[in-house]
Amino acid sequence: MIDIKELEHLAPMANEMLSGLHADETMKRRILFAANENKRRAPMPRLVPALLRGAGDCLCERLCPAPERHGGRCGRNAHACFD
Amino acid sequence: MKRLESSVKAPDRQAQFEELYAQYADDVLRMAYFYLADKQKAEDVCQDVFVKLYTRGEAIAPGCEKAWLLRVTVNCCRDLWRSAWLKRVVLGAPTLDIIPAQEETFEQREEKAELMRAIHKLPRQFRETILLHYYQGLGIAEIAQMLGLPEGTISSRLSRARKTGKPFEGGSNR
Repeated sequence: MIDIKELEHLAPMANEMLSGLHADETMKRRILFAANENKRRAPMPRLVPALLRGAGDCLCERLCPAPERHGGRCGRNAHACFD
Repeated sequence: MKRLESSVKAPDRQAQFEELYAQYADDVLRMAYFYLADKQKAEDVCQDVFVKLYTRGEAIAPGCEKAWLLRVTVNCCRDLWRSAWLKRVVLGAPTLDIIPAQEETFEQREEKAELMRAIHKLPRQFRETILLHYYQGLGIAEIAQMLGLPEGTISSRLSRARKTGKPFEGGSNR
């Protein structure tokens, strides 16, 4: 059984026993660096993949202009270009 | 205490970060160490918590900054504790080493460390309740809100942890 009187003094005792453990300036710099890295690596907007797919479609249409065969949607049915 | 709002400008956010880091970083680090008994992992948790604070999207209610930091700390520790389950089972649970600043005799240190080790060996849910209540000084209502549990459950956990602290030594520790 854990003595409740001992538990009442847990905070000062644990702080004393762990007083060698410090969050120092080095850690703060590391956190700030990581936080800025996280911000810089912001998730890619949804628009970008859509634009890339659109550009792919255009390129495919120019390379193999056969709209009557597969509706000109080579980006979505790329295999059709090589039939 | 300054208000923490999500709409604050970057320099203000930096200032708030500095202020909260100076005030609570040691608490977060020691709490994580007490929970995990691993200095490296505790430092990782502390880093994650403050990165989340710095890059958070939501506002933190004024006066609730410490509770917010401790909630994120407990969640990060839980994730690490769960992910290290297999390692604990194979290699055994880590032992909590004390890290005092000043020199003390071995006997003095061991006497004080006994209670801390007994708490560390409690099952996870009892350990985190004891740490939040007796180490971080949070009230039962605050802990209940933080962990999303009824107050009765927290009281019951505290009572059971106190009563059954010793038998858990060498127990499952999951």
